[in-house]
Parts: sequence; structure tokens; C-alpha cells
Amino acid sequence: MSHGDAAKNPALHDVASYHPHGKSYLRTGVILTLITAVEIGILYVPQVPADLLPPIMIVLAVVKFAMVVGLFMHLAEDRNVFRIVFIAPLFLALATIIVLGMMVNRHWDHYAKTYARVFTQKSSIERLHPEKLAAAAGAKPKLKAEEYDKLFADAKGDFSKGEAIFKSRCSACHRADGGGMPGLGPNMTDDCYKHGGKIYDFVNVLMNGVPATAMVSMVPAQITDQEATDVALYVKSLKGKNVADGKECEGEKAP
Amino acid sequence: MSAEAALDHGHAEGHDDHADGHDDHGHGDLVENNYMKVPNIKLAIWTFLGSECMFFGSLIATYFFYHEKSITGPLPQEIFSIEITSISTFILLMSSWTMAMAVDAIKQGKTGRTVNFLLATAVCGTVFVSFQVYEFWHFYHMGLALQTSLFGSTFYTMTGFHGAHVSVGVIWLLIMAIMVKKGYITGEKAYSIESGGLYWHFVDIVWIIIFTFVYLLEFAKPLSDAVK
Repeated sequence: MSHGDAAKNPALHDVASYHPHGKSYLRTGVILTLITAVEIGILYVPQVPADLLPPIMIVLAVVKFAMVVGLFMHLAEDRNVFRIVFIAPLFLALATIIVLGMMVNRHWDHYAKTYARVFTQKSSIERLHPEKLAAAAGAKPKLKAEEYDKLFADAKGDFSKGEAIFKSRCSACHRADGGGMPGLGPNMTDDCYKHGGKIYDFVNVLMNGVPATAMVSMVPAQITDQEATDVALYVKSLKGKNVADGKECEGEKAP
Repeated sequence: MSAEAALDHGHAEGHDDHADGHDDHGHGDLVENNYMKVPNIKLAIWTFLGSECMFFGSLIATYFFYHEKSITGPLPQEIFSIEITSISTFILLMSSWTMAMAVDAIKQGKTGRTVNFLLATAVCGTVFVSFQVYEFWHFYHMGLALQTSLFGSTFYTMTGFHGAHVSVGVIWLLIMAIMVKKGYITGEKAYSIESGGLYWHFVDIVWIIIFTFVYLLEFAKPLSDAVK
């Protein structure tokens, strides 16, 4: 093929009629750098509410993504066929991430509740899992504090039911002997309390969870009220045992 | 038209009996897709990048699926260094700019400038991979191996595949630089550099996502101090 064909052949580039993009590329590069600096810097600004950080960062990442694809890769002004073969699978990938994320990530609950109310009256979480919302709204243990203490005395040291549940449902974070794990559940066998030291308080944590920690609400999604009581009684029996190489004290030390 | 000629349709001379309406260009040149009127290599790269979206999408989705499911440490918050990763992120971001400048230069027919920008991009890529090698080495010595925990498996698989893509990109860049230097690629065939550039920019946007969602969001949880 002769070079004379270049102007007519869309596959071949016409050097003579090309307008340089140098300045706009530099501008794009500077903006991308600034956005990245904001993303990182914002982590160090204590005044920014933690709840606002993820949405801000997601928006900034999407802007960066769109700038590189649109301006550096020219998808904004290039042929439709390129947009189709790229953007269709991109949405498939996004759907995969979002669906899997919604299935397992405990933060979804938190954000669904925090933000969904801003836009709609009912979030999807509220509609799909009303029981979770009820728990978050502050479900109360069924019995009074004294009645739990009486149950503890009545058990006469037999906490095998609670022990079985603890070993199967709680040991992944609190260890089979209740000693706790670094980065996960606190030690159940020391004399330290993060959320109160009464059996009533334990049931309360089992029902409502501890927001923004791995301690999710267990009742009624995972265990029943009765099972929660059994576990709470067993945990009370563990307190003060101080198993070997347990996690260090967290929360307040009991007098 | 013989069967053989029919098979050769699109890049054989002498098919003027076909009233396809664009006989005045493109015949005899494999680079053009006669149907779409786009360079085949660009279409191929964009399609490939589409499949890469799903590839990295699955790896990222898997990372989040198993996020905070590890029962042994070290945990991400204990070993991630935002400072170090920010530097390598900045370098990869800048390599996207040098890559865009290389494409801009070849489109103006400035081959010497193209080679320089391609080499600058390759250097940035190499520095990024070096940072990653250091990071992996550091994490390994802090007790995180591929088989240590769900975090280890999903993290190393995801970022490792990204690093491999950057490494392939560096090799690609060097080959392109040599081909421009030797005169195999000139301004007219700018689509060739452009296609390599598309791959490079894609590697950059994958890192934009990984950096924000895996590294930064790890430190941006609600009441993150409660997870101790």
C-alpha cells in the first residue's frame, strides 16, 4: 500500500492533520494527582466524619477512572464499538463486585441504613431483613438483670448447652477457650468489660451486636433468645478464669 | 470468485467485483477491519480489556467476599503502609501521563520523542513493580504468606496478577520503543503505539480501583477504632 492512501484509510493515522494534546494531557495528569492527594490527605483530617469517607473515596475513584478511560484512552471521543466491547463487561464486573459485597460485607448494613434513608423511606435491607433493623433499633433482653442472675445460680455450674453454642458460633473470633484473638474478639475469660459485666449486658450484646465491629447481632438471625441466654450464662462462668495467653485487657477492669 | 479468493476476502487484491462500496481504501492491508472501519488491533485490545475487566472484577469481588473473614493475622490494618503505597500509586499515575504523551508524539510523527516517553513509562512501571516486590517481601516477613489466611490468599492473588500485568506492560513498552527506534513503527502506524497505550492505561485504572477500595477504604471504616 502506498502512503498516499493514508488519509483515506481509517486504520492509518494522518500525521499532518493531527492536533497535539500535550497541554490537555498535562492538565489531566495534574488533576489526577490532586484527586489522589485529596483521597490520601482526607484520611488524616479528623474533622471528616468516618461515615463520609467511603462515599467520598468511591466518588473520587470513579472520577479518576472516568478521566483515564475518557481522556487518556480517548473512549469519550472514540468509536461506539470500543465503548460497547469495554463498558458492557465493565458493568458485569461491577455487578459481580456489588452483589458479592452485599452478600457478605457487614458494612453494607451500616451504610444501607445510614444513606438509604436519605434517598428513600425504606432501604433494601429494611425490606429484606426487618428483623435486623428491629435488632438495631434496640431490642431488649427478655428478662430482667436479676432474673438472669437467678438463672445463673440455678444452673449450678452446668453450662454445657451454652458451651456447645459458644464453641461452634463464637470460637472463630473469641477462640475455643474464650481467650480472644488479636484483631478480632476480646478475651472472655479476664475481668475486663467493654459493654457491661452483667449477664443482662451479655444478652444485650448478643441481640444487638456492637456497631462497626465484627460482633454482629446474633438474635434472631443466627441463634434464638433461649440460646443467647445459654451463651450469656456460659460466658459469665468463663469470666475470671484467665486462660493461658489470652488477649490483653480491653475495656474497663471490674473492681 | 474461487473459494480460495473468498477466504482471502478483505485482504486480497482483485475482489473489485464485490460492490462493497469502499474499494478505494484499505484493500490489501490486514490492519483494517473492513466491516467496522476500525483498526483490528484496537478493536482486539478493547475487547481484551473488556474481558480483563471481568478478570480483575472477579479477583476484587473475591477479595471483598473474604474480607474480615480471616481467623489469623496479620490483618490489613496492621501491615498496610499508606505512605509507601501512595508513592507507588503516584508513580503509576504519572506513567499514564507519559504514555499519553508517547501516543501524542507518535501521532505527530516525532519518533525520537516517542521513544523517550515510552522509556519513561517503562521506568515508572519498573519502579512500581519494585515497590510491589518490596511490599510483598515486607508482608511476608510480617507473617503474611499466600497460605496464611483468606486475606493473604485473596490479597496476593489480586495484587500479584496486577503486578504481572504491569510487568508484561513494561516488556511491551520496551518492544515498542525498539520498534519505533528501528523505524518499524512510524507516525502513520500510530494505532500500534495507541493500542499498547490502551493496555497500559487499563493497568493504571485497575490500580486506581485497588488502591482506593483495598488500601484506602481499609482505613476509612466507620468507627474503625472499634475494631481492635
